[in-house]
Amino acid sequence: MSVILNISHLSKVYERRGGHAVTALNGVSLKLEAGQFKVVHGSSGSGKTTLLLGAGGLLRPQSGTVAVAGEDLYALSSDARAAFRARNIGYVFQQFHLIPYLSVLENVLAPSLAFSDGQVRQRAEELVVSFGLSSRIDHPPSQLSTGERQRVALARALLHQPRLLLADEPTGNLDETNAAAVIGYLRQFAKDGGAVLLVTHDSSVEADEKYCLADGVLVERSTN
Amino acid sequence: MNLWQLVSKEIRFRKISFLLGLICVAVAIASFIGSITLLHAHDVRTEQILIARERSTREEMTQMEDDYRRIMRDLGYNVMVVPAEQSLAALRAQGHPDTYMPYEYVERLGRGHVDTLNHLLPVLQTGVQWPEYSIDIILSGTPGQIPVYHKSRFLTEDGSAYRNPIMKAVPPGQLILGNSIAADLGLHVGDEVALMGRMHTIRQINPAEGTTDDIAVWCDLQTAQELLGLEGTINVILALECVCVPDALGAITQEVQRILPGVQVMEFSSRVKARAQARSRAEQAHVTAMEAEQNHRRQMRLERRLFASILIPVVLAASAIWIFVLMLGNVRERRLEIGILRALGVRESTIIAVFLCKAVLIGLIGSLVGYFLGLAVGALWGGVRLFSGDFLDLIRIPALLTAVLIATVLCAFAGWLPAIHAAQQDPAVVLRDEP
Repeated sequence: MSVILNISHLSKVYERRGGHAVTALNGVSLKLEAGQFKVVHGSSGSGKTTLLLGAGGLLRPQSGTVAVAGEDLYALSSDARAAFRARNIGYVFQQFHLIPYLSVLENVLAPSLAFSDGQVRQRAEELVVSFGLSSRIDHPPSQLSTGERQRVALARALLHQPRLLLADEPTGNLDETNAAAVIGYLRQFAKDGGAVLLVTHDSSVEADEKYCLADGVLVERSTN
Repeated sequence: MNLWQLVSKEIRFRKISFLLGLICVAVAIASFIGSITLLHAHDVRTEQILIARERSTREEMTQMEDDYRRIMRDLGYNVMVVPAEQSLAALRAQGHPDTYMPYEYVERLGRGHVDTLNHLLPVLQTGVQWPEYSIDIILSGTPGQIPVYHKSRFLTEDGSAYRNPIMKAVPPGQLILGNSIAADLGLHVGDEVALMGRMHTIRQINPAEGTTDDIAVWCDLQTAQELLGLEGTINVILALECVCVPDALGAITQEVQRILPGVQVMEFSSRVKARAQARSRAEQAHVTAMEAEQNHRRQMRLERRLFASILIPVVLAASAIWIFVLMLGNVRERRLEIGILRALGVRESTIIAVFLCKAVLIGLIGSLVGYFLGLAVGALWGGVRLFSGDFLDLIRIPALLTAVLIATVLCAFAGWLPAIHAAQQDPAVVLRDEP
């Protein structure tokens, strides 16, 4: 199996006003191979989101490296990193973060602002169908249920068929049924050859490997 | 999904913000174009006023000229051409010249392209006693008026005579009597009288003039020459000074003496001259009024230009600041959206383009609206009716392009910093901080 995500000794310290520093990540290392679905648990403020932002090339660490598909993200320029992210990394957020004035289809197509090929619209439509959103295709996010919104966010993350999917509390705002459906989609993505790193405070989510993040330190809990 | 779709969707979503931007740019450009249009409309109106004034003056002057020409003609001859050796004292004392010149002088004058004289009347006149009645008269012989041939507009179609002569020819065998002579002798029109042994019919009796004309007896020139034994001669050419040179004795003398070196020229009617001078003063008054109007309009234009030169920069600067504030507000409002797009891999340059595109769109649409708004307001203020020919003339493509260019650059400039600010936002901070 090829390594999709390789986080090595990642550290991130936030300097607060008044000289007070908060260590969000302290030498975190993590490997994720194609087909793997890994979960990081942690309480609020444990550094889960920081880990995910760092893994996606959005938050430069003080030390350590992040390589996605062998590419050291923070060795790239800002624009090159953005382009790389557009092609290789998908993000799913707890709050969905859909663009309010775009329809379902347009939200799914939003990543094509960064990178587009001739098949992008067809893929978007297929994703809308496969996530059961056909009847909502022209609706704005304000007219969708929370479950539908998260499915739109998931479809958007998958538009460019990324190798890595980073999910930040994707089920945090969903009921059990919708949460199970979303986890099912993520698991399917991993089965199809992708790699999924999910951070959540919900310890019931089953995964290939489970970690616990506390005070910036990552500890492996169990393996399925 | 492309940039334009994103921008247009966002504009539709936040209509009020976009509309405020448009109004701001439209007002700024309307002030700019309105000021320019007002100045153009002012110029157009000034031209119209001056043309109308000039036309009216010209018509009045033409009318006045016709009136004076007619009045002068009715008042009679006011210039006399006499031999150079004629004594003025003798002329005044006797009431007629006592020196002579060839008849052909008048023909030379008529064909000599004189501009300053008209209605040439060659006369042979001398004081004699009417032997049949033993009364002193001034015997005057004339063949009638000789045309100034190049002034064809006053002549009959064949160009041989005046259409409206001051004095017509006296046919051979007929006489015209001064009023005093006719009264003294009890003569009437149609009476048969003998003059120096020749029988004549009285054709006309002139009204009283209170001058030596009242003792004049007019006959045809040839008869007078024969009776006086002065064949081929005349001693005065009466004429009418042209109204086009109201004070031109010098010019007349110069022109006449160019053709007839051996003569002198005299004016003898101050009434006509006074009226001509009054006409000249009226013309001068018109010119002065025109100059005053021009000065007034020029002053008004300067004031409007000064006003525009203050208004335009202030409004443009205010507009730029307003657009800047609006765009900055838009950036703050779209903070999360920018973070999402950055997380999706959208480049900083694309984020900048999103905001600049919107700013430029505000500039383009706002400038077009502002141009036509300013054009309409400026035209109405400048006294030009909307959609009239003059209004359409006020539409200047270069001004339109300038307005569009200024507004676009202004908006791009005002939107630049907010766009940079948007692109440089740290998506990690946004995504971490936003609920």
